[in-house]
Amino acid sequence: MREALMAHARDVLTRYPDPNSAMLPLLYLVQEADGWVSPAGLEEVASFLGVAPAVAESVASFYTLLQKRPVGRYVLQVCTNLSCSLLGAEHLLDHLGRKLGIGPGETTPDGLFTLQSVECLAECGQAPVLQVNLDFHSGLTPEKVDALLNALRKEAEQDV
Amino acid sequence: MFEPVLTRGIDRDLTRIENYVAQGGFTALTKAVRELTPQQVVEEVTRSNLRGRGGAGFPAGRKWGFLPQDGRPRYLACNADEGEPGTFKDHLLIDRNPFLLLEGIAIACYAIGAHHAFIYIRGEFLTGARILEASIAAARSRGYLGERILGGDFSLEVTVHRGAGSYECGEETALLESLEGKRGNPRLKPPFPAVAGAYGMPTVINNVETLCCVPSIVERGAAWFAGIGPAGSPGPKLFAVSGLVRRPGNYELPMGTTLRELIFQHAGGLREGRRFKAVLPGGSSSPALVEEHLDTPLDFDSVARAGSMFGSGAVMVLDDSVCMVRAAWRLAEFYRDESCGKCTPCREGTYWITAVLERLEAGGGREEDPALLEHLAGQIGTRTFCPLGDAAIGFLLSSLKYFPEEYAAHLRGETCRREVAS
Amino acid sequence: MINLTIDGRQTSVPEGTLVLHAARELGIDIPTFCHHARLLPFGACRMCLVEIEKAPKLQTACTTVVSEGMVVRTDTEQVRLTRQSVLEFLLANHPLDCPVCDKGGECELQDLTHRWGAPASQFREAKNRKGKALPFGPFIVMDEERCILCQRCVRFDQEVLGEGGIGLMGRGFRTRVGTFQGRPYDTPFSGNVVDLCPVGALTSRPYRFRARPWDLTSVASTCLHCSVGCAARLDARENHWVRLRGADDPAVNQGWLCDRGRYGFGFAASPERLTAPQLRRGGKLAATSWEEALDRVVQALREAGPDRVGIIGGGRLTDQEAALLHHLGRQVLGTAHLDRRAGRQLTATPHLAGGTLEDLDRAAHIVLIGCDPEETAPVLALRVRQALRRGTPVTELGPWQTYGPGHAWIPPSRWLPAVGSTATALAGLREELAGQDQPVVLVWSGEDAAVHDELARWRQAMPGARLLIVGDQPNARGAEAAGLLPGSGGRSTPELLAAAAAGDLQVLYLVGVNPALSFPDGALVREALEKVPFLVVQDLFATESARSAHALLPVAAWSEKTGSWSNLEGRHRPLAALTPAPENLPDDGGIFRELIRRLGGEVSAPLPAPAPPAAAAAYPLSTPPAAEGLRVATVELTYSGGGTVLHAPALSPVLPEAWVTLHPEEAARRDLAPGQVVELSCGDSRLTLSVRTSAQVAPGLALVPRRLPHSPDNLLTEGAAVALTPVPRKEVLP
Ligand SMILES: Cc1cc2nc3c(=O)[nH]c(=O)nc-3n(C[C@H](O)[C@H](O)[C@H](O)COP(=O)(O)O)c2cc1C
Ligand code: SF4
Ligand code: FES
Repeated sequence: MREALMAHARDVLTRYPDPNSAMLPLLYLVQEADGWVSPAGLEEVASFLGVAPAVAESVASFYTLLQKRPVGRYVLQVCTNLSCSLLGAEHLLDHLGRKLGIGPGETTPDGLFTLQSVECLAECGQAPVLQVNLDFHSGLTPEKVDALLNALRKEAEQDV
Repeated sequence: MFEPVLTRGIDRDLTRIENYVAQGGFTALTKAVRELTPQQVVEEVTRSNLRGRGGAGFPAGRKWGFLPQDGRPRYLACNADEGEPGTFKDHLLIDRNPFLLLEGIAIACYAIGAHHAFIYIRGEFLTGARILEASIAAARSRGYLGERILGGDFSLEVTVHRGAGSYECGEETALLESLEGKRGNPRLKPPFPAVAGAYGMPTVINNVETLCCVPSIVERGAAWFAGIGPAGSPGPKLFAVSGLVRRPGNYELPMGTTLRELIFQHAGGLREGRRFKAVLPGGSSSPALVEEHLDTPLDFDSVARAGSMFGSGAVMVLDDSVCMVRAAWRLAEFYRDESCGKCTPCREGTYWITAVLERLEAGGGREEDPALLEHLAGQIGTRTFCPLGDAAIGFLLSSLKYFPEEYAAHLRGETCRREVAS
Repeated sequence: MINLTIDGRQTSVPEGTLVLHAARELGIDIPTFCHHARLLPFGACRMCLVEIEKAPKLQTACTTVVSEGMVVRTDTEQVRLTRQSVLEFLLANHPLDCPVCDKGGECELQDLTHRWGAPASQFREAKNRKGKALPFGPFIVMDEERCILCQRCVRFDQEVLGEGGIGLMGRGFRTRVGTFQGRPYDTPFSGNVVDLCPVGALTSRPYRFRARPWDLTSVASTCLHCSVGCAARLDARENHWVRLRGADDPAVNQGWLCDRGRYGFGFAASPERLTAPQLRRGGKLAATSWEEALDRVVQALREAGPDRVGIIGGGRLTDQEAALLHHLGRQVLGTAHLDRRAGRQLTATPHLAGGTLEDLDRAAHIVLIGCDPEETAPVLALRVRQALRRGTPVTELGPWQTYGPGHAWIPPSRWLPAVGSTATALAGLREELAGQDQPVVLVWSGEDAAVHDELARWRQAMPGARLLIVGDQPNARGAEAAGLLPGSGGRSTPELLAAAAAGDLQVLYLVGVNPALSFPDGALVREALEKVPFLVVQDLFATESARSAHALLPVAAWSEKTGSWSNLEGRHRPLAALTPAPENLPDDGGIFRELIRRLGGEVSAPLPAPAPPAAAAAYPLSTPPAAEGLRVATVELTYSGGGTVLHAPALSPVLPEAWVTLHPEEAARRDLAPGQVVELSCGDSRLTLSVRTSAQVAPGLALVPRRLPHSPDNLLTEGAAVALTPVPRKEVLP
């Protein structure tokens, strides 16, 4: 495993009675470093834990927050479960799709945004909601979403 | 007059430990470790008749009493997965009252003799996980967690473990698998977690809200707690109201508050010009209730008698703009995607049901579809490996029962609105 | 005992019995998919749901344990409907391609649908599409759409192999069984998942589209690829051997097989197989009649006289054939120069209490001496793996370590004098373990005379110790029991070869052995085979040893004859003829009978019992002088050995390449990288090999696979110092 991740990984191990419990935390570490969980990342985690790479892939493939493909800098996850749908989440998803020119599951060509439709985010009291890289934005309207996209674009520009 | 217990002082930034302590936080823990034996704590919680707030309503004290006394290490797993659609009460407690949860965890661990607790928090609650980590550090530095808590003999480590996107991981044995670094497939029972849970050791699994009830029981006594709401399932409850009401949100009220009071008084009733249609009283897994049920008290037994389930106490309100078939399809898709895939009826049945509903929605309905859906639901219910199968069919069956004319309309080709609600 | 009622019938069964088994004992069949007798209770397919009084829901019979007074109903309308629905669910997304599915006719899904399914499906939706005919390694093909996700394959991999090479991928209706990134399923036990799969999802490449089950004739027999003796079922279609599957002998293989056994059957139909006897005429081997061939052999044997005849072989014969060979040699020819041994293994018969495979399950400590059961006795190794998982300590003594870091490994070997010999290490272990009354099981290669002597001391020190000897010849133990060892005054294999090389032997008769490849002193064996005036080779193939033969006698394969043999436990293993031998091919026993008759002997009477096998005399194998630097050590591999393995087409993708494995430090010191090609030289001999590195090889050793036809290790002297020279890569022209 990469040196940069090693120290972290060893620290994670100390939190559990069994090293295998570090599987999800390590997959998250790899995702944080690379933006997604690549096959090489799976192999890294597997060898660190002393299991076969198929074991790591089997685990990773179960969980939706572990990205199996490269994603954009901002992952927009729009809740489309019932409570949010009642308040226009499906419309919101369409709106975002049109604005970004992509469908759910896709990434904009500039690599800035990935749009995903996800299940209940447990923030139904302020539906409709979405998360940007796991940050909540709630009580959304098309106008608020536009403002959010602009703010994110600006942030990205400033970073360059 | 009911005073909030779980949300008391929540507007005073209880993520700061000094604010929590200032309003009497950690007195229950202090009392427990200094004045009570673990056995006394278990008895107190048993007498309070606190029932689990994660959905199944199992009495917490009895659950704690099951652990075999055989010298093996034991663990507490706090279920902070909050995956049930419509439920957002634990989210509030984690983000805004984290020390209450940690205090509840510490008392529970003291009672069951655990020295390591895990908070299994859903992956999407990244902010919540960070708040908990910071709160654990703060509590530890003040001697409420860690080695020799409050100078006594009791020590406790708390580890925050993030899930990674899976509803099934809220099921207790799937949660344990996930905690152990595996796929979130449920385990065969027996052995039950009380005998062989996390790492093969005796383990108690409790919901966030359940644990948040514990400090007040220790502090104010079982009798006080048991006196709130109906005798069979007493206590304060956070009702998460969502959907088409004027004021969706969390309301802390006594168990046994009626649906009518909750929806029309606290949540402000329906929006302008809308009529009440149906309500899911216990999250997306609960069968819908209709107008005639509005006076049902919200507690485990009453809601069951009305033909639904209390579940996590998440109330989703539907008005007359909602298409029940589309709502059923939306939820069916959720269960199809969240089925872990281990057992046949759940994996294949949810796929099948979703496909039929999707076809119905698209105007391709067949005469036999309602009967077929009922048959499929009947062959999933109670036959699956874990309760997810039952969860997947609750709303569907109730929509067929109460709103057959909407299915009939779809069959006549009156395809419905593009959205669930207009 | 627990009393319960099933479908109104009372029964009583031992505590802990599953409802499923209690019912089966009453003859009440509860259908199952995910349940498997050799895997842990699972309860996922839901086919076995039954009613149990007082239980609020249907319960899975495959996971529910009986309890006193339980009342079970399997014959109700609700149960029947549930079975029908589970099948309906399983078939909903199934491709229903039974006509082109190998499993058709022996498919559990087909059979149970026939018995319990609905007359018609109500599924009218678009099917859930998954992958078709995906490669799953060299032997297996996966049709994901047929998979019912019973997870038998995955559970086998986890519970029995402990490898994790396959797993569930994805979740929900998208769940499938897969390997890491679709790479080959890389385990020497891969074929077992095909036996386990109840449907046609996992099929064998060599068997694909070769037969319909109802066209098959099959026999219960034993795999004759190694000394474990796994129970097997052999299938033939129109007299062509098309398949070999595991059968469940609880004491031996529990249903499992290794891939060498399972997919190594193609040799019987190899075009390379010898079909007619041959005699050397004018320097060349030419086909001839049996009449003439046997006459010539008889004549040679007669002319030589008993003292100038030597016979090597017998470990591939049936017990009955071995007895005939013994009779031919000792009684009819009157020679004591018989030896079944053709390589390094000195003995196959334990000289302290012999163990059983099941002893490994009870062992308190397992000691592996100079052998790697993973390579030479794979199915035995499965029990070692189970023991490791139970926490049984396993100590390995040998030049390399099989079970990885974390287990005891005593790397000194007889070639690393600085650290001491294997026998010395073993003596140390004996002292450490002495006094323990718990059973110790020793698994030994049967090589190394010093170890042989040391083990004799274990008999006194630890009467509870049990010995299992794994070797390269499947029936080595039966051959020894039949007396195929040098009698008093008789010559052992090295002595026979030395005599031949010295011009002191007239006839050398090789029976099913290939010493040119297996005998450790390559120079001696080559000279002996060249020099002996009359060399008879009896075999399936023209092996390396047959090149200078004067008479070449082809024989029937083991799938073409009936009899029995003895595995490494001395356990009787049946052998049944699946197909007739090709026309004009006798079996080994037939040749012995004919030779006995022509030499004037008798075979109709019961053969005299051989003397009980002597503790095999230690072989005088040459020991190289102590030397500095890198020394050669050799290792037996599953797929080494040439012969039947080499001629089984299915095995060609897994035949080992020629490599030399070094400890990473040794490689680094010589500036060698894995994959680099080197020339390994020892005296006048050279081998060209590619470099591998492993920390599980003792530093100081150059580990080379044994018995590779294209790279014979016996050109090197084991233990001798070797030099490594990198071979420059060929320049690639632009
Ligand atoms: C599919 C499924 C999902 C569940 N999700 C949750 C959850 O997100 N949070 C929770 O507390 N309980 C959940 N449960 C219930 C738990 O299995 C368990 O009953 C609960 O955590 C026990 O805690 P309690 O006794 O304090 O309620 C779920 C159950 C099922 C079957
Ligand atoms: S491949 Fe076969 S054995 Fe494996 S899960 Fe699928 S049906 Fe079961
Ligand atoms: S339904 Fe969207 S957050 Fe709950």
